[in-house]
Amino acid sequence: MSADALLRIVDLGKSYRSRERTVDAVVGVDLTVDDGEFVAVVGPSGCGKTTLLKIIAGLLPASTGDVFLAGQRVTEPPADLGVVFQEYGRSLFAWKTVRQNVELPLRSRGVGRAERHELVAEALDAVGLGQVGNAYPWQLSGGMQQRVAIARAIAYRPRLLLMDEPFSAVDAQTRGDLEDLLARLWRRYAMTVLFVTHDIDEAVYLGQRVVVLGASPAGVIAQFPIDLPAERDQLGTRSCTRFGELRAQVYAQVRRTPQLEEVAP
Amino acid sequence: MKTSVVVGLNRGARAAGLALGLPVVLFTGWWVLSADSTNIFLPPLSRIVEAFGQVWLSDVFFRDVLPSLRRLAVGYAAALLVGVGVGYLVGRWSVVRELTGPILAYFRVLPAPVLIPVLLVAVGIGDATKLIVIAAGAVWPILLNTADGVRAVDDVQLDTAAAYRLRSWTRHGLILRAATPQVFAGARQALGISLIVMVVSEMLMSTDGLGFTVIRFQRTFAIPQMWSGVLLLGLLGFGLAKIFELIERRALRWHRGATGREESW
Repeated sequence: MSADALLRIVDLGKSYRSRERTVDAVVGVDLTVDDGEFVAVVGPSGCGKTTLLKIIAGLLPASTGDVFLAGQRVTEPPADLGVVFQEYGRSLFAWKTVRQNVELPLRSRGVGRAERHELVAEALDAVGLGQVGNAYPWQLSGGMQQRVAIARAIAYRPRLLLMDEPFSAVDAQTRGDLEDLLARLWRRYAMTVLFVTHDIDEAVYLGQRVVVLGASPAGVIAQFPIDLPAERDQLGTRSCTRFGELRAQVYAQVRRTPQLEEVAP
Repeated sequence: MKTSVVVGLNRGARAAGLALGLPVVLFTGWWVLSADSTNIFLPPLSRIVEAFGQVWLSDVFFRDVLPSLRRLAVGYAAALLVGVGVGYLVGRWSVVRELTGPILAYFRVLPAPVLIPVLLVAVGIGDATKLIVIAAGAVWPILLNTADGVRAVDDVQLDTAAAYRLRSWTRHGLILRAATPQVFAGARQALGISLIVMVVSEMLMSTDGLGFTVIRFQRTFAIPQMWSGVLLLGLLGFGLAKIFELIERRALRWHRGATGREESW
């Protein structure tokens, strides 16, 4: 596993200090993600998932431990890192068109005009928004706005894509569509995806591996390889026996009383 | 489609009727009630309108109206530049905020016209004094609103910008753009203040300009002419506010859209 690890998290901890007390948000997280892997991280709400993700993205300094991306210690947002946040409405720039939003990171990276246009057009096509490039984000539905955020990440061609509960603010039907879209994109672009969610079904459905974080302070309490067929579909996969078993196993861990101990996957 | 256009036209006509109705009634009432007035301080409106044409549609326009407008424009532009610039620094960096807080609180409540005698001594009676006073009066709402807006920029947007490693100038631009609703709110207040301070400064220390001319008419008992100056200042303020509104509507269309207040047409 560690031979071609893209992301390596070692004994990561984060505590917030106020005058009266110190609050541990994340404690002793060890996690390795292979190149090209799709890892889903689940945990109860408020368990520090977002904190963990922000540290990995270099947006927040860790209190203890280290994060290595492709061997490089992360101290600031690394190149080749894409992010998709839950709050698509706040993550997109409302005064820019869909196309300008997707194009923006490429401009800062110094990608030439012609190549930029090509990447943007391809990314928008890939998420099924080829026709709305000139619209503004607020003219689109929530699901479409999140597609724009995904297109922005895709166009950037990240090696690691971090997603923070990206589909928890859209309705169930749209959510299924977006999950399948993401699975297709992951295969097509051979990205590594770290997907944070509080939804166990979603984690099992999407992940090659599911990592369970304990209640706050969060640490990794269990990991499950998901041995479902690579090709998954909303109806078949979700109704197969193995899906149910895996779901139950993960569920049991998430519901467990919050204590830190090593659990063999 | 066709009916909606017709409805739209009807609605437009209705809005125009409502907006113009009361002014027309008041103007007509003033005209009729003042028609036989013999009070020299309240001349018939017909005489004021007559004086309006004689006074302002002549070389006085170039001698007195244009200099006033130029002062207003330069003073207001300086206030915008300084207000947005310093407001950005104050909103963005807590050190600057803490450092300047008490000073800003002091100068903000200082009425700008009180600077006139001080500047008369220090700078002299020239245009510079008037420009400084106008700018000094108008800068505060712009500065404080810009600081508020910049401070309130969404964390998710900042995280997005950081994670995609947007260039620092791009990031400054995004933050400022995100703060434009507040910047405009401040700029609108500042426009009114500029007009007031312009007139006051011209009344106190000038040899030309609108404020000076109104005072001169008053001192020479040219009462209808004096009234026509008041009328002109009102129209000027109204026109400037309308132009401002037009620019604001264009610049903040995204804001109305993103907050669900974009009109259907």
